Amino acid sequence: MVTATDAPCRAFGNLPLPHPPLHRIPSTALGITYVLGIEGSANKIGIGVLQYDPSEETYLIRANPRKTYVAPTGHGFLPKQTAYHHQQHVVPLIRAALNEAGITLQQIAAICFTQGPGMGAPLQSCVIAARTLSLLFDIPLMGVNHCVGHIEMGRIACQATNPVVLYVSGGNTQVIAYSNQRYRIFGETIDIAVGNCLDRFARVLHLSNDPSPGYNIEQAAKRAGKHFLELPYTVKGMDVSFSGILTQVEQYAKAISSSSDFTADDLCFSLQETIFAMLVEITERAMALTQQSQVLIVGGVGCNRRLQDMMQQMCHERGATLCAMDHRYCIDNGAMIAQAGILQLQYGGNTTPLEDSVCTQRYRTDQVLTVWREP
Amino acid sequence: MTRTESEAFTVNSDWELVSQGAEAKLWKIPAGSLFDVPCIAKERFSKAYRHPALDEKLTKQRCRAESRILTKCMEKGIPVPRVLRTDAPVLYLEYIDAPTVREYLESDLLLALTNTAQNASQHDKLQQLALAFGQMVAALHNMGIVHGDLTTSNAMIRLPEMTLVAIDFGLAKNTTSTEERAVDLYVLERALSSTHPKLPDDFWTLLLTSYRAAAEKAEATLSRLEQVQIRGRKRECFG
Ligand SMILES: Nc1ncnc2c1ncn2[C@@H]1O[C@H](COP(=O)(O)OP(=O)(O)O)[C@@H](O)[C@H]1O
Ligand SMILES: [Mg+2]
Repeated sequence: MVTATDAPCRAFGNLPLPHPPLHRIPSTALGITYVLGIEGSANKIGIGVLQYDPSEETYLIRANPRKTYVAPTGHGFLPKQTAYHHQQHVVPLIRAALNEAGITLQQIAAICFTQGPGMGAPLQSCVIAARTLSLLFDIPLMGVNHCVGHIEMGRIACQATNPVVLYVSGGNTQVIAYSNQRYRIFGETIDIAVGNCLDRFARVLHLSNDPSPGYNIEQAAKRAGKHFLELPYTVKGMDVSFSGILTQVEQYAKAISSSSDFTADDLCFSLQETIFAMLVEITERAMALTQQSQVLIVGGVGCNRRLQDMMQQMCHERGATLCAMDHRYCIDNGAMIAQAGILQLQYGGNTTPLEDSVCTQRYRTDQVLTVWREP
Repeated sequence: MTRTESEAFTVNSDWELVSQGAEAKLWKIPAGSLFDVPCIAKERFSKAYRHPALDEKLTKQRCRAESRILTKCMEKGIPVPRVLRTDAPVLYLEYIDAPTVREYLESDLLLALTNTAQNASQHDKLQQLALAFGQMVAALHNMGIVHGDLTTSNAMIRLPEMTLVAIDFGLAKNTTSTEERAVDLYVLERALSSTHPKLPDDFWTLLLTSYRAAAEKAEATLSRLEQVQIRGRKRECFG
């Protein structure tokens, strides 16, 4: 297992940095570039301050505070309430991040914000904050694809040059591999996302959303008596489907009674065993196809220990390595948006003019031209 | 002789490992060793990460599904390797002396072509390949078979006549569902664009045209394919 590091990180596997720098660096000591990252595409709002130090050629997270909107038990998070949550927290979080980093907005070279994919209203709340700062302090904007943020933070933190990426969250389930300046989607869900499947099942069982429904399913699975109930297993090539599993497991849940020979915990266990086996299988298939030997799991579901363990076992059997789970790229945060944004900035990618700074709910990973990587 | 996972299965020293994929190892066995023709042994190995009950079910089920569907294809005249013996989780198949479509596409010849699309004869070959691929998928679908893992690695190409031999039926099934056929095509479309990003756009168009001409329920399948594609693009994605 490759462990992630919190220390200053060098980038590996990118093109050489343009020299002298292509972007404007506000007068900072030693020519250090600072960028701000604003993330709010789902139920978390996070602000990151990231620096690039040219003398050491390293990237370092200087601050990365975040707040999570937790929906009441039995409910998912809705756009309106989530947007309201983000609006309340965005300004105090920016202040806190700048304070912690010990810098001022005048020193920031770009404001990186999540342009998509995500939920409309929460995304908009953040983009409005980004635009306001941009106009007030005359700082360029840099729109970032959320998933590319996860990937770039993972690559840097784990020094993984060219991993196969499993992106698993509430809204996404994708197997991604790099080729020819794009992160290409090799496999994905053909219906609902894995996190969505877990969240919805947690609601059926009335599990709490605190800290997250997936976490509570994981705890329930650990308590189970290893009674494995068979569920549909649907893999098509490198694509997966979860809707049939959800229907089946919901029916089992309704059948729970004092006389049934399985418990809610057994269902959580069986659900995890089945859907994680599917995810590991399609990841392995993508590795065999692309002949790569590193795996990076990003997105909230990547925090699940059982998924991590299964992936680790698969990697071990193939002589591959799994990048360690790490909060900096598994859970949504501002620094990861700053990381993808600073690469775009440094390698001469266009900044985002105000009139183009609209966010989009659908923004596919393979739409981004990764100018910092070898064609 | 090395012993492998499964009990009765032993690999001879004259067997040559030709492929180790995500779930199976394949050996080439010379003529006269097991059968009087050269053949392939395909062993699905067990996965430690999976729950044992699930693992046992998947490895055996897929081996048997592959054997059953290959036999059906053979009976209906669809070009596939002949099944010589089934001994789940091991399958013995006729050896096909041909490259995979992927190997063929990645050979120098066609790589040059896909960049420029200039050379007329190479462009012709690509068109021929698209037509043949469309016909192969249509032939399977007409028999009530969906392949489940259509990629350029799972079809072999006999040269110079450019006839295709379909392989790797572990995820295949017998079904007449329109949705399943549409998803089969969707998986292929995405495999082409992710594995061969430089392939010209008209390759897929041509493949579909040929599918439309040869498939019995083409209209229904292709209009469902559009829905599956839209679902893919519109899927909510956040977090
Ligand atoms: N009958 C065969 N004759 C010759 N080569 C074969 C045959 N079947 C498979 N192969 C080769 O082995 C590779 C893997 O076989 P496949 O059945 O697709 O297994 P996997 O599940 O590992 O993809 C194929 O891409 C092809 O190169
Ligand atoms: Mg194959």
